[in-house]
Amino acid sequence: MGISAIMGISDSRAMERVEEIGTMNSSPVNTEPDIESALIDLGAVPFTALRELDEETLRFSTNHVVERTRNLSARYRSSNAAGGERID
Amino acid sequence: MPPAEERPTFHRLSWRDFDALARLDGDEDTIRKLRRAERSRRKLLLHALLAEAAKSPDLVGSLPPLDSAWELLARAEARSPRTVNRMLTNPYVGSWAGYTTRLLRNGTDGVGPLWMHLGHVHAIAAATAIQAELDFETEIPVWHGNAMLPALGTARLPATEPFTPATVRGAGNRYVVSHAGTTVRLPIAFSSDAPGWWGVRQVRSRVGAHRFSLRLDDLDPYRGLYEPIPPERLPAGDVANWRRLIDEACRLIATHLPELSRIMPVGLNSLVPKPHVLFRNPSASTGEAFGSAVVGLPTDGVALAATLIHEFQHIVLGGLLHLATLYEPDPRERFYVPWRDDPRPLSGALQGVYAFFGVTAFWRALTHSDPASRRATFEFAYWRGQSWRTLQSLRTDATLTAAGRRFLDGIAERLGPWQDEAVPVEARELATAAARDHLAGWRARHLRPAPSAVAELAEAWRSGRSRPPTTFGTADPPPTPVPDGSWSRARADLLQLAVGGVRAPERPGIRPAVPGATAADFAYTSGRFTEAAEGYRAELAATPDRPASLVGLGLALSARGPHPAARALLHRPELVRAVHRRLRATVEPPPTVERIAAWIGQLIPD
Repeated sequence: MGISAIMGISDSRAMERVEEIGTMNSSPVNTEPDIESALIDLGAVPFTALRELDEETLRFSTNHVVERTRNLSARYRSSNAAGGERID
Repeated sequence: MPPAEERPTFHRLSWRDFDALARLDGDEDTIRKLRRAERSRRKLLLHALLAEAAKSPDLVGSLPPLDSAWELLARAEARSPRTVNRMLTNPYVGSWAGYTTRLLRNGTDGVGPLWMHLGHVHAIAAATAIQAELDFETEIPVWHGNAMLPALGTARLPATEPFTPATVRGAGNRYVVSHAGTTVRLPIAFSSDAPGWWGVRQVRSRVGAHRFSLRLDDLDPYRGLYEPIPPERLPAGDVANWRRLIDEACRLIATHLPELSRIMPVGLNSLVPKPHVLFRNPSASTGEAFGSAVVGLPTDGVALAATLIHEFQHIVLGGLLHLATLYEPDPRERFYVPWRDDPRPLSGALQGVYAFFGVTAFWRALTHSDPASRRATFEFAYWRGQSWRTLQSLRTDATLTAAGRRFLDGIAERLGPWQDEAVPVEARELATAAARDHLAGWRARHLRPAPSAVAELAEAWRSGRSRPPTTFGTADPPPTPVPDGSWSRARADLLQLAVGGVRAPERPGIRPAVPGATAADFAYTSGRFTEAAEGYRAELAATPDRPASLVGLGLALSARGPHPAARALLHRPELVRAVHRRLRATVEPPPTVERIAAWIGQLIPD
């Protein structure tokens, strides 16, 4: 399922929004659409509203982040330095 | 349901910002976008954790229900949204959320009981409420007498039990933490120490228009790379040392890489201090703690500046990886990297390339500023070459996504031209020798030649052939993660001493104490190559398998001019060792390693 479907908006509307944002963030010669992540932007969502928010977008993003977090494994413990890399 | 326009959207990044990050041209706005995304990620994990834990209320033991933490956070947000933003910017809220999510969802055992980790949300809420100056009371976990209020400090209480709750209460700007008849009053300035209170120290540095503000966090239980760790309070004298080094490092970065010094404070706000390790400047970070780096006390401000840049690069890439997929998951440890002694997966190798790309930029700037600096010119020559070599081995890998290839292309666009910049001959030669040394040592320990090729070569030697058969393959086998033999970093350490990257304690007339350094290593790094070759021959006569001696002999011979044994020992040491091992078991007396190397080396080009 595409992000636009998850967000409950049609492909054409999704494209309009992408272009709007792309225009804001791009030089006139750069019309590439932005990279859209699977991470929902909660910057403007207060804690009180977050608990009431029950929609597909939130569930999709939560699942994405939780699954990725669950699957993270570390070969290095907190007492060891990773030597120029990171554990993920 | 609200109309689509009002629903939350997903974090985005323009390709222009993406390319700028790849080329080391990211600006403050881009790093802020990454930081904002991390706040969303932490908020989402917090939300998911509380929702999951609410299904089993007994998980928090005797602590208040987790709903009360949520309500306290909501109150703090209503009073002062900035305090909640600040809480979500705290790197260790990220590492706590990750660790606790794994404990809860994977059902694994952690350090201490699960209720302590889940209950830490009360400590996060309490610290936020204190900063919002709310009137409240709640309970927080105490671990071995330490009640942590994240980003503020630790109340030190009687350790009646390993894990127990304490009460936090207060109003306005007066708060206390109590447990078992002991009450600790928080000082007005939380970063100060007070009876029963260790504050999280803040180090501020100002260089012209550049301001750096770093927490020196030796308290937060989630400040480690992965699992919780107890406080390791730095003595005041060490703090003064750290302040001086941070000042020096910030001054260097502001002077030599002013663009970087504008963006670094946005993405690096906390250091976890660790003790000094001679000849190493250990540091590490994790993608879950965007904004933090674990750093060993460095040699000097220059070393710290390089380390801060290195970790900042990791932090940036970690943030980017939360927004874009650069590669498909592939845990196979199949790449040689010069910064570690073992083969690495693509993910780790890519992280290293990006981190050392930043480090290279720093040494390059120092080289431009002082072309006579042996240290800067060597480090620049070494890291530009090593980062480039690793980058080239990754660029065409099939597990990279289109975005991943584009990211590496962006790095290459900047790093490529640096390869041709002038550096003194000595720096270039030292860098080349150091690179060959490490790669040959890695080959000897991690590549296993095909047994059939080894048998064929041994048989050819036994039959008295003057040249080895030309059939042995040239393609490398995949590396084996388990090393065959140990490695010595002594030559690299001695080189650091020679160029001034490390200062060993001076003892007149006595060689510096470099772990594992042999007489041959001292001779080699002092330029006495004939003596070094003799020394390594003697080492190999006693222990013909020792990788550092095999490579050392190759380096010493090579330094005196073209030599077939040097070529084999530096380019195919694993083959020399394997053939010699086989001959040792079947030929009496066995040939020397050098004879076998010279014989094989006839087929190895320079």
